[in-house]
Amino acid sequence: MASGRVRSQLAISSDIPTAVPRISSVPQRLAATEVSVGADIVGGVSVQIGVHVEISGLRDDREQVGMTMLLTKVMREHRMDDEVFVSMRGKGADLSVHADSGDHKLIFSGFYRWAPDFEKMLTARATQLVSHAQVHYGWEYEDEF
Amino acid sequence: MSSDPRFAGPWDDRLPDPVPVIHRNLDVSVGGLELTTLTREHLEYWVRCIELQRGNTFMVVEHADEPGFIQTYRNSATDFDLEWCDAPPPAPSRQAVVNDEAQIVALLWAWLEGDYTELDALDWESVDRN
Repeated sequence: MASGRVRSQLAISSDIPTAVPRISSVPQRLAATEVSVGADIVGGVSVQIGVHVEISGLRDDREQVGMTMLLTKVMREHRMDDEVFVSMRGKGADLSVHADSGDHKLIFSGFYRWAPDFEKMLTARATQLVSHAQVHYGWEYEDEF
Repeated sequence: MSSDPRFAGPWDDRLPDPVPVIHRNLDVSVGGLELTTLTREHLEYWVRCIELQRGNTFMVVEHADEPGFIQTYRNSATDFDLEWCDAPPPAPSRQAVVNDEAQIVALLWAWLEGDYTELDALDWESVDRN
């Protein structure tokens, strides 16, 4: 399998989980020895995934600060705030906000059901705040290394 | 259009008014992560994140185009080493101990703002790095 980041597409699921399915997180060194992963694993099996979200197209300080507050809040609501960190980037009228787990991988259970719903929610929420914002998702799978 | 409230809101997110002060063109590192832009609220967020950086609990703050830096090392929730230097190494610096996370935020922000009143009031120890 080719290495690199996978850009996922926004998808609409007719079978929506009622709760965030992510169940645990452990340091990567431990996770790498204890968790089996694979691109075709679904359901309740855990997978290790790097999280990268970019919200771009922000045109001024107000939009960037507001989007930073939103993304920080969303990461906290989804219990990723200990491992996915929010930063502000850019200058002039080319501003963006990022949420990034760096080299660290989070452990998800039910990821393939959760991710499309998460993307749909965050995209809707971000564009409600700033209508011209563009939201990009990068899910980095452990087996791509 | 979906009517599911998880996807359609309403959410209470608002753009800030007034817009807070933003410092750009910074060289900030927290653990292994690099930042260029901070508001005071975002600085507070990142100081809270220092402990999450897996054994690399430094935060270094510099202006990209100016000499000098201020950095902190988090020993515990109530024990921060703070180092302030007006020029890059090997220029001498000064170090102090700060026992409060909120004070660390205030001191780092004051440094970014160029307000050294509270910094000057700390009990500094000179460090010769030659």
